[in-house]
Amino acid sequence: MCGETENQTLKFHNDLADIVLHVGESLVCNGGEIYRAEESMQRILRAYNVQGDIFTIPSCIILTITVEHTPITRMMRPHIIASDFDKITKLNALSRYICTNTPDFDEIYKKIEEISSAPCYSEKTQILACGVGATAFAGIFLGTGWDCIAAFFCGMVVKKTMYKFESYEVNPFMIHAICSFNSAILALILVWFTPASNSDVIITAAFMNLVPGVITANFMRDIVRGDLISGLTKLTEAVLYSTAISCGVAVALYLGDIASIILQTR
Amino acid sequence: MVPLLTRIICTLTSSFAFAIVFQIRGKALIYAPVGALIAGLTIHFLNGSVDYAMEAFLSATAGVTYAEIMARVQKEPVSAYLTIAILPTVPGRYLYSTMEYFINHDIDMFLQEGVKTFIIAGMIAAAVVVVTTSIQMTRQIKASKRKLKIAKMREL
Repeated sequence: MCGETENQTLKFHNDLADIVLHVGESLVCNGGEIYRAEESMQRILRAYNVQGDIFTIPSCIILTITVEHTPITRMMRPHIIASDFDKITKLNALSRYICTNTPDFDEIYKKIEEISSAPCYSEKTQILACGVGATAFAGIFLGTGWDCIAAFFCGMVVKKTMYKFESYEVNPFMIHAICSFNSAILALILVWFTPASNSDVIITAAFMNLVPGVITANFMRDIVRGDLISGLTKLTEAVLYSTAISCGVAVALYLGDIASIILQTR
Repeated sequence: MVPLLTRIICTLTSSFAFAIVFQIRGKALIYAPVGALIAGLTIHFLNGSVDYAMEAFLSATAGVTYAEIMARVQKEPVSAYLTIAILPTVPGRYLYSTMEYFINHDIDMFLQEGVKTFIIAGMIAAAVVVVTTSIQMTRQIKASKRKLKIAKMREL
């Protein structure tokens, strides 16, 4: 009899560990802050009256619960997919709900499933949105009407290239470089063959889509909460992304210079 | 100088488009671009009267304050509002000119613009720190005052 209850508590704690890890993983994968993931996981554990320790950095989550001298440990390597703030909002609401109501695990699994299969904006909508964003930025950077139109196409090329190379599983730094290279080349071509005249405005407007704004905004929040490792990891990421973007545009401009020299000598 | 109307329309459009790229849905899709507008208008009305670092700091502070308040009111994670709110401050143009000087072999200007880019990014981070910390502190102070009140009531 005693063994049975022991088995039950063990099963309960194992299930709890799975669920907590699942919530944390979803938060990190969808681009949530690290301290938010850690805090949510800790709160869920506390809501079920379980003591546990959690260690989270952007590429690793470790969770240990000790039940009567038997440690239950889970480790996971989350792979960051994209920033999806809708899912983060829903997961945040879910962890609040879990903390106040402590529902049974099946219900939580069902809700997590619902969240992960929630509708998101389609590829086409996002490509269009990137184009519109670039157009508006060209307006802020004092471009002419033709510049804005050119920026629209360059912005769309950025996102399209990104989708293309993400499906080939190229590393993200190379993807950023290739995206900015493609859009800069297109900008130069458009400046040559259409009345659009300011290549700098068009290129800058298009690569605003790539500048790591999310990371710049969030890395400091991790550092302020005392999570130095996560903050610095993200800062490094931001610097490397910016460098990659610059390199892509630089190569495109070099090629543009060479092409114009060749055309002039002919 | 960008005309006011152009600034308002372009800032709202760009931040709305970026909100879609970051998969923001529901009410936040309407509320988040307002944060960018506040930051953009701060830049507009400062009108170059302060230097670039202070401009970045002030506009980021305005945006981040809005984002923090809105997130508390809506009980949603602040990161969605925050990301959109700092968009007008993000140093995209400096990043471009940095690289342009590098290509033109103008190392002095390259370094100067590069440092500017870093300073602006740092100013955004500083604004996030200042606003987040002060909002946390106000909450703590309010909570401790409430505790004191309860203690006094018990004494009476």
